[in-house]
Amino acid sequence: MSAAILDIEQIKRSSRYLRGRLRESMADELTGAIAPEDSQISKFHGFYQQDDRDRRQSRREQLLEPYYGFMLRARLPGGVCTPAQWLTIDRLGQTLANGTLRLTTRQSFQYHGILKGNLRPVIRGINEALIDSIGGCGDVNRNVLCNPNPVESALHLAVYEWAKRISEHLLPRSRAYHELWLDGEQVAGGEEAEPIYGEAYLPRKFKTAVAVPPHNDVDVYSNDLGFVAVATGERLLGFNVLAGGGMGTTHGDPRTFPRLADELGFVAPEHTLAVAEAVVTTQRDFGDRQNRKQARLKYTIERMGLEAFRAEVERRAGVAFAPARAVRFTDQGDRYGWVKGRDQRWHLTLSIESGRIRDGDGHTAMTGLREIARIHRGDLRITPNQNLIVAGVPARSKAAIEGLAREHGLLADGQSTLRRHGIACVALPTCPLAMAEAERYFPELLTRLERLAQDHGLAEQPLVVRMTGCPNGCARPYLAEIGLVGKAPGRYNLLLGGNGIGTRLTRPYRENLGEAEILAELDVLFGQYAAERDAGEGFGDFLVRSGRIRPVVNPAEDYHAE
Amino acid sequence: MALAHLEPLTSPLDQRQLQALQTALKDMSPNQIAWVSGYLAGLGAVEPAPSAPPKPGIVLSILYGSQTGNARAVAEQLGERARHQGIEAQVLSMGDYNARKLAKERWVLVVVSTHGEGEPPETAYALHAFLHGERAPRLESLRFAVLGLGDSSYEHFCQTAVDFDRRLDELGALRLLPLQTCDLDYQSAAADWSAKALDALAEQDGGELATRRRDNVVPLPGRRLAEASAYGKDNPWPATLLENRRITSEDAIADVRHLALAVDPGALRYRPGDALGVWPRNDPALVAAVLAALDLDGDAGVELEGAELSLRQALSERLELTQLHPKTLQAWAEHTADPVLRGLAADTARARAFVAEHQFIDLVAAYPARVEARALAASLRPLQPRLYSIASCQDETEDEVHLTLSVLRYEAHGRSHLGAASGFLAARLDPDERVGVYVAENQAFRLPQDGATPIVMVGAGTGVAPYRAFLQQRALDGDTGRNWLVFGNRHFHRDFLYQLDWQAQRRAGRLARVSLAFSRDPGAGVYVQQRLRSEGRELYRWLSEGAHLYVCGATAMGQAVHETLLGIVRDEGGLNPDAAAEYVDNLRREARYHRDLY
Repeated sequence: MSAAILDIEQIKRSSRYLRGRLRESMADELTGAIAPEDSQISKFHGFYQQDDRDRRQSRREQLLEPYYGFMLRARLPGGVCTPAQWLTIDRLGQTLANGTLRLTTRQSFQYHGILKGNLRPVIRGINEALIDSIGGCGDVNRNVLCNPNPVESALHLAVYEWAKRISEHLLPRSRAYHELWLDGEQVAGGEEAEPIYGEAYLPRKFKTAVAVPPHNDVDVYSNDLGFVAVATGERLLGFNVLAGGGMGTTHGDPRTFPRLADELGFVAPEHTLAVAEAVVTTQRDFGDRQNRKQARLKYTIERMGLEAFRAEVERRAGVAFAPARAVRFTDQGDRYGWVKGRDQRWHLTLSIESGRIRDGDGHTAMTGLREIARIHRGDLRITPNQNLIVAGVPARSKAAIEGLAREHGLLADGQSTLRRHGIACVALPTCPLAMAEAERYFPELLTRLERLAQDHGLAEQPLVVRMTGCPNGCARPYLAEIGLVGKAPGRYNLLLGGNGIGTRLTRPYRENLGEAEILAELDVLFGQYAAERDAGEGFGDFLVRSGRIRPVVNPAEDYHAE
Repeated sequence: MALAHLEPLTSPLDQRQLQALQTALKDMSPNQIAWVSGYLAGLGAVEPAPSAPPKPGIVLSILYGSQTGNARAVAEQLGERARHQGIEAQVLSMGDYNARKLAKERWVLVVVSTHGEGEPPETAYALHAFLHGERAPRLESLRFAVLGLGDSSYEHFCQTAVDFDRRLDELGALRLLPLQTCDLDYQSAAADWSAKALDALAEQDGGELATRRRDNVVPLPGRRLAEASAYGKDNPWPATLLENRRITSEDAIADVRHLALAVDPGALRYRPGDALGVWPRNDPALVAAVLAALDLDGDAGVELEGAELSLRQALSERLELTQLHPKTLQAWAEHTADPVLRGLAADTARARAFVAEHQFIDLVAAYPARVEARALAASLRPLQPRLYSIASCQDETEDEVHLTLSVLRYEAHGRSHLGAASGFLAARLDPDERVGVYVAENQAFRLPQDGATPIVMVGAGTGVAPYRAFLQQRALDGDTGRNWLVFGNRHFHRDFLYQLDWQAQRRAGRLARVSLAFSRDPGAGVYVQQRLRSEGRELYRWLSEGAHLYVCGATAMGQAVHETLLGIVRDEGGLNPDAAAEYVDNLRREARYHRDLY
């Protein structure tokens, strides 16, 4: 029985607060899989069942079941960890997973290929480093993003603290995680209440981000719940609260669309948690529990209407929103190389291709980061663009860290702007949702795009290219300037018209293109852009201004209109 | 051709008479042979062989302890021969023999093989233990002779035969003939001993042995008991390969194959637990390499067992090239006259270590010598069939027999090596080619008679093969006994042999318990014996409920499991070491502890 046809709402409700039959599933040695019901519940504990899709057929012939492994995603608010934590993360990846680490677009790290029997040791291992994976996946609030910019150090620290508090406040209260993976003790009386979530949790996943303008690297408008820091100098005044953003769509289902979050208004910092909880509980009570493709908060708000939704949140939070303050975003990418913070510390943004950290095949990134972690005294920050910042380096340590980064190919030096701003999701062979390649193929495509950009004299032009293997949007292609969304092996929808700062959606431009067709379409558009652009005008802006792309204004109405 | 197999062991003719008969019949057509057989039968009727009337008395007991069927075949041929000579004889497996009867026996001939580290065959274990125990009876009235089968490349060559011979003597029995030990090419030595043993009986029995009318029908080789197959080791069935499927993943260390061979179910019958003997043909590339290394012409003629054939054919089909034998090493040392090699060959321990790690081609490449084709053929041991546990149940697969084999392939001494039979079956055998196979019965590895009896099946690597057959059989028979599989290999994802089969058996409710041990998975690798140790309480409970325990796989694994079993019985049963050993011995005596180790 496939999980798709099981009633996930029923599974959640009868899971006794996320316990399910995971204990029995883990004890079954004959299979590397867990029961279909449990593969829904496991997501709340941070892990997903996957299998190596490249090998399904050959393994059937070998009388072996699919190559099951588990992807485990940690909760790491704001993507910040210490070097000591990094060494633990690294060791577990080497010994108990497939030998790699994957940085994610939600500022966390993932392990792939964990054998069922090693899940508990992995979870215990990160727990010893004070990291957990609660809500890594599942219908709850996921890892909370926070702009990792350490330059405005005091402001960043204040905002980061709020990101952590939001994450903690929205954590499930169930003891199931501790019971199953850590101390093994069952709570007397068994179950506990979930004051925020209830026994069925949310209708769908829920994503939260905190942005610090002018940087929109967290793509705050793509989140269910967004907080945009408003500050004078380094003093935090409060947040503009956003709600109803979301990326995922379904091919061929016009009722689905990507959506930018709406502004609810401004609140002072002390109301942050009350507002966050009110948005979550409103979604809990008003979200669609019949159809998972209409269950995200963006559809709830479309159905309720923004005013009714805002009023409900205000009522629940006991807070009235003030008008949103004016903010300005300038970019959504990372700033590579060294930058100096106001606290006189230095921060080095490393380039991690597609967020994959590994050794072998000419790569030594895993070794390099381990060696950096051994000598580094500041912290490490995973960016929403799947890169890593070595943060808080005193001037005297710069040379040593840069030396290691250079030795292990971790610097962006010499990389094209195209490559610096590109993101791809994991996709094949592990992601069960993937319809086409992304991470494995993206570097090749970028090489061809680089050549194309060079041919048109656009080598220096910043351009945000993002690729996903399916329409769920993990790499946020709907906010790129060039988005490629997998449709079938070797086939992608080409999306255009984003503005490079994450505040305007892309629009489907051509469907189902192979590589040659993608390059041919872009060849034409690059030629026109190079010839006709205004000074400083971005590619997406040019396409919109020149009428080649009609901007998405209200996606519920006009996303599929063409 | 039956005639080609006529030999002194199985006929009343001596070598000279046999040759004359072969010469006479050589050019005859089948029609002519049919006429001659009628003529000879008539001749026999006119002049009946002189024979005394039957006389009651004591029956000769021929006891065999056999693992692969060779000792059993020798014992049966000996029995036929005895009856032909007018001696009433019973041929019995030691496994079916009540040890206490031995004290009442007068005339016993023993044929027994040796396995692993000098261990008796499973069926001989109980009798062996009984004779060496404190309650062994005095056997002053017994007369005996012992024939041992073994492989002199092992350290404890024919140890079980040595044990029986010495122990029977210690218990006061009278030795008719000195112990005879036989190596892999045992046939002629066994035939000579058989003749001598029967002569010694005739001289010394003083008329007390029961007699019968002399048979005037010559038993043909390959003949077995009534229900047994006409096809055997020396008369193999020509099977074809139906399926050759790799069942380990591409990144697995071992290349393990599931093979299906087509057989005629009327000609070849097997039961779960049996092995299939396979006659391999050596790799033509290896044959060519040996010829090239020695600068010999493959067309040169050689003589093997009285027949002329080309050296190439001999190397390909008749002589052992992959399993180097100490005697081959010795012979080669003589040819090279190399003092280093001679020293090596003369030192038993070093020679044994050397042959374990080299094939013949490695030897001749490292120590070249010029030899004639005939001398080469004489240096090499006869090619032996390889035995593989059968992985299917004939009631299920009928005209197929399934094998699970690991392709032996490794790099050493600057060249790649391939096992003779695994390479032949998995890599060289074409679909339309034939491979000679026969069933090697394994009476010591049978499912319990009572289908309600629980069983514990311990197997590592390809040792899991017979359990696939077991579960198929139990499913067909509707057996209700619980089944517990304990399986070990290197990696869960790479070499969990037949994983989908076990999953299907569990879905069908036929696998009550599964315990797995993967030694090289990330995290803590474990071996089957360690896994079994951690399940000691459960194992002891199953045994207390009458479960049969099966262990199949490498000898070292079997020994480790045995030690673990003793430990479990000690701890869970609260027994001292002696009592635990007694408990385990009892399991064997009750035929509830079965081992198939290689």
